[in-house]
Parts: sequence; C-alpha cells; structure tokens
Amino acid sequence: MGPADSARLRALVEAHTGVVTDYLRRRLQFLPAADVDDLVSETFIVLWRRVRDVPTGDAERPWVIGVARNVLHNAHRSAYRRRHHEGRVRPSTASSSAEDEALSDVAAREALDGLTAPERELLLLHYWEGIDAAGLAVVLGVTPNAAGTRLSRAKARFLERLEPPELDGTELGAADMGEGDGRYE
Amino acid sequence: MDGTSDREVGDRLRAMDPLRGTARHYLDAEVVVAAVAASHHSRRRRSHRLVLAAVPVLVAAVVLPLALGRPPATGHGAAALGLGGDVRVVVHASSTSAPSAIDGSEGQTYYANVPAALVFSTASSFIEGAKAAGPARVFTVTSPPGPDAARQLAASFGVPRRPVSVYGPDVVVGPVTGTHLAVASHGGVLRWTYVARPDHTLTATGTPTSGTLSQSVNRARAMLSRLDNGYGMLTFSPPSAVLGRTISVSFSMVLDGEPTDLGTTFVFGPDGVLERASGAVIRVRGSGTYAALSPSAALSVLRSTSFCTLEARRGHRRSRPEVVHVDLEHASARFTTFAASRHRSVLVPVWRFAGPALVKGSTVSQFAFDVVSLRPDELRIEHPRCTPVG
Repeated sequence: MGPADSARLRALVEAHTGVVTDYLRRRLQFLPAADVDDLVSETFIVLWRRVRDVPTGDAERPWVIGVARNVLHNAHRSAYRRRHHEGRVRPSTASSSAEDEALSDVAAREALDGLTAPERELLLLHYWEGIDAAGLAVVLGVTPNAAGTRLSRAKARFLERLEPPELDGTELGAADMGEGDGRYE
Repeated sequence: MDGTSDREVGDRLRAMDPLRGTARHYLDAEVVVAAVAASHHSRRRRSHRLVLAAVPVLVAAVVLPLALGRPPATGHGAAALGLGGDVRVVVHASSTSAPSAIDGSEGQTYYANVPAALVFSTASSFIEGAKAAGPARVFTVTSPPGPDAARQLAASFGVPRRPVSVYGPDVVVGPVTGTHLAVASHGGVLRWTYVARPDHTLTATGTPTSGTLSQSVNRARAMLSRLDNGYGMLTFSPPSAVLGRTISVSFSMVLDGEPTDLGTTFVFGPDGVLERASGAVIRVRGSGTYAALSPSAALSVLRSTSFCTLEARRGHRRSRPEVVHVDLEHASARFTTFAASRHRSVLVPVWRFAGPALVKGSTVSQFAFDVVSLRPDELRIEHPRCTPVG
C-alpha cells in the first residue's frame, strides 16, 4: 500500500464517517449502541483492504454504504447466534425521543412493517440515506433498471398500505348497507 | 407514481428516521485511521500464518545462526556492518505467473518467516558462471526531501501542481482520486508512484501489438532520461519488457556494474497510454569496504541457514512444516537494499541463488535467496529469536 492508498483511505474516512455512522445507528436493532464505533472502524478496515476497488464519483458513497451494510449484516448474524445461544434478548438501547415521535406515526410504521424486508431496505436507503436508483444498484449489486423498478414498486406498495383505497358505496353488497334509505351507518 | 405521492412517501419515512432531531456525533477521522492501521498490521501477521500453512506463494525472510554474538573482527579496520536486524539471508518468492512489475516490491526485504522447510539441490556446475568475489563495497542510500522530489517528478509527468497532500514523510501531488504523483519514504529510500486517471486508461481493453511494444520501450527510454535528476554513480540497465494486457517496461538501477533491487518501471495500456509508473529517487555514497564471501562460501551459508517460522518466533505452537525442494539454477552478484534503521538504508552486495521450488514434484514458485556476500565476521548479527523449522 503506497501513500496514494493511504491518502485515499483518509479521504474516504473524512468524507464518509458520518454517513456510515448514521447508516449503522439507524439499523442497530438489538445490537448495543456502543457497537457503532466498532462497526464504523470495521467498515473502514474493509474499505482499506479494498481501497483500490472503491469507485470514485457518484458511485463512491453507495459503495461505502454497501460495505457498511455487509458489516452490519455480519454483526447481526453474530449477535443473533449469540442471542440464540444465550437464550435471551438483549434490550434495545436505541430508543430516543425522536424514535418515540417516529413511532407515533403508527400508520406509516405499519405500512412499512407490511413490506418485505428488501422493499423496506430500498425505501429507507432512498429516503434516509438519500441514495438514488443508480446508487441503490451499487449497494445492492443489481442493475440500475432493476433498482429503479424495485424502488418504484416499493413506494407504490408503501402508499397502498398507507392509504387503503377509498371504498365506493356502490361496490358494497347489500348486506353491508343499512336498511331503508341506503345510507351506511 | 406522481410527485405528490412521492413527496408524501418521503415525508412520512423521513419523519420515521430514528436519528431525526438527535445530536450526531462521529468518530474523529484520526481515530478511524488509527484503528485501520492497527488492524492492517495485525492482519499482515495473520496472513503470514496463512502463508505458512498453505505453502509458499509469497515471500519470507530468514535468519542465520552464524557468528552468534561473536565480537566482530573486521579485516579492514572498519566497524562490523549492522543490517538492522538478524537477517543475513533474504528470500524472495513469487508465483509461477509473471510477477507484477509495477509496485517496486521486487527488492523488498522481508523480515517475516519462511513458509516451509527448504531442501536445496544444485547442478554441480551452476556456480561456475559466478564471477570471483572481490572486496565487498557497501553503499549508504540517501534521498532528497519528499516534497521537493514529488514536485519535480510531478512536473516531469505533467501532473497538476495542486493539491499537495502531506502525510508525514509521504507526499501526494494532484488529487488522490485522479492523476497524481505520490512519494513515500521507506527506510530513507524515497519511492515514487505515478498513477494516471481518468479511469479509461485503466479499463482499456484489447491486446498490445508488437508495434505498441517497441513504441512503449522507446517512450519509456525517453521518459527515463527526462526523469534523470542526477543519480550519481547509479546507472540504468537496458530495458526489460513484460507483455500482457499492459506493457511493463523496467530499468534496473546498476551500481558498480551489478544490478540492484531498485529500478524504474513504466506501465502502458493496450492503447499505448502510460497508466502507471514507479521508481526510486536515491543517491548513494560508499560507506565501507569489507572482506567478501565467495559464491561457494555463500552457498554454504545458505545451506546452513536455519529457517524459522513466525509462529515459533512468536511462541505459538508450530504445525508440521511443508517440505519444499528448491532447485538452484542460477548464481549472480547484485546489490540488495537493507533498511539499517527507519531512516537509513544500505545497498549491500549479495549472492543471489535462484531456481524453481517444488512441492511434491510440482513447481509452485520461483525462489531467489540473497545471501549477503560479506564474511560473517564482518557482520554484526543478533541472536536469532526463533526456533528453526523442521
């Protein structure tokens, strides 16, 4: 590794530590919050090993997030195995007033929970990390067209669940209608 | 999906962001870089163990149990030469595929481990071509200040003068993600690397033609002469070219008529565009003359060398070493760089013995052993700190 690689690593650290930290903090789930710093370091260790593979330009940030994603998945798998082995669930320490506020949007939470995991991930990468379809393709290792299609589908599914179609009275059967003047009660 | 719906999805999801409204605090960049560096070093140690277990593909180095702790007695009144450690024999190994010519690592000195128990065989006459040993001259290597050299080299390659990034002794001229010129100091030897971007030069496809090859060699010669900023007693060998997806043209630095492990390499893409280049900016001055070792005596040193493993050195339990037969086919005199300290290197005369290494009858790599061609009593060698292999 030459000085250019070292300089590149430093540039990556300076540019993306915040992005990586935020990404990980948002998705800690049952991992302790104190693990974030270790996971951030682990992410950059991986980036260091592959520093010559990291693309430049628009693809750089999605690529970095893709690495953080893999690091987080590994951590979750390890934690799951440990948790399973220990037979107990570690309490989450990630609650905050903002989270409480977020949870107050019960409809949106339920809509999100109703999506598949890949759909949820796409939406949150897009709206929380601000990654566009081309970047999602880099993170997820799919073609930009596939990423765009999946993102659109996930948005549509989220909206469907968020706003169930308004019911038109004419479509309801008689048994659903009140007697007499036909008004629904 | 219309814009209103899209905005609504965004608003609702961003409102659910668990970090919304919370204070953000991030690790300091220095902390992250330090963590990476620490991991990098421990990973290198781990990789040595893997090499040991998996048999020889890469490198190692070795120790010599000769002249242990014996008070040095030099035949020329000069102080015994210390080489910055207990290394007397340097092992180079490469896979059977063509080695990468660009990274300048060919001559690196490795203080790691030997990957296996080595058994040597030689043809009876293989050493006859090696010229007789004369007095062994040792040279001290010096380099100009990194920023000065970097600026001068950058100008030669037409790299923009800014930005200039300084990382301790290392300097990068130009954007690190774009075309740049970098210099780094290792043991006082200033090595430089030029990388050309945009990336189209790195992704060009096709196969170089013989015409491109001769053009590349000519261009490399011209560039080398343009880079010449006064190497003093150092000269350059005729070019050697490796033709693959790219064309690597290398020139070895020559000292006292013998090749050294330093040199300059230019790598051209299939379209003839210069993709990368590397080299070293050094000056040398004589630092002493010592009693030399003949090639046959050096071969005896090699045969009597007790190779040791990193595990043994670190007190770990050793696995059974792989036995590797090395068929020595060539002997030649040359100079190899030794880092005598963090900031000082010396060019020391060595006898290089080289040949293929075989495991269970199959050639797995090419080995070269550089045996310092100074008489043992001319060298200040520490006690070996490891257990021999096998």
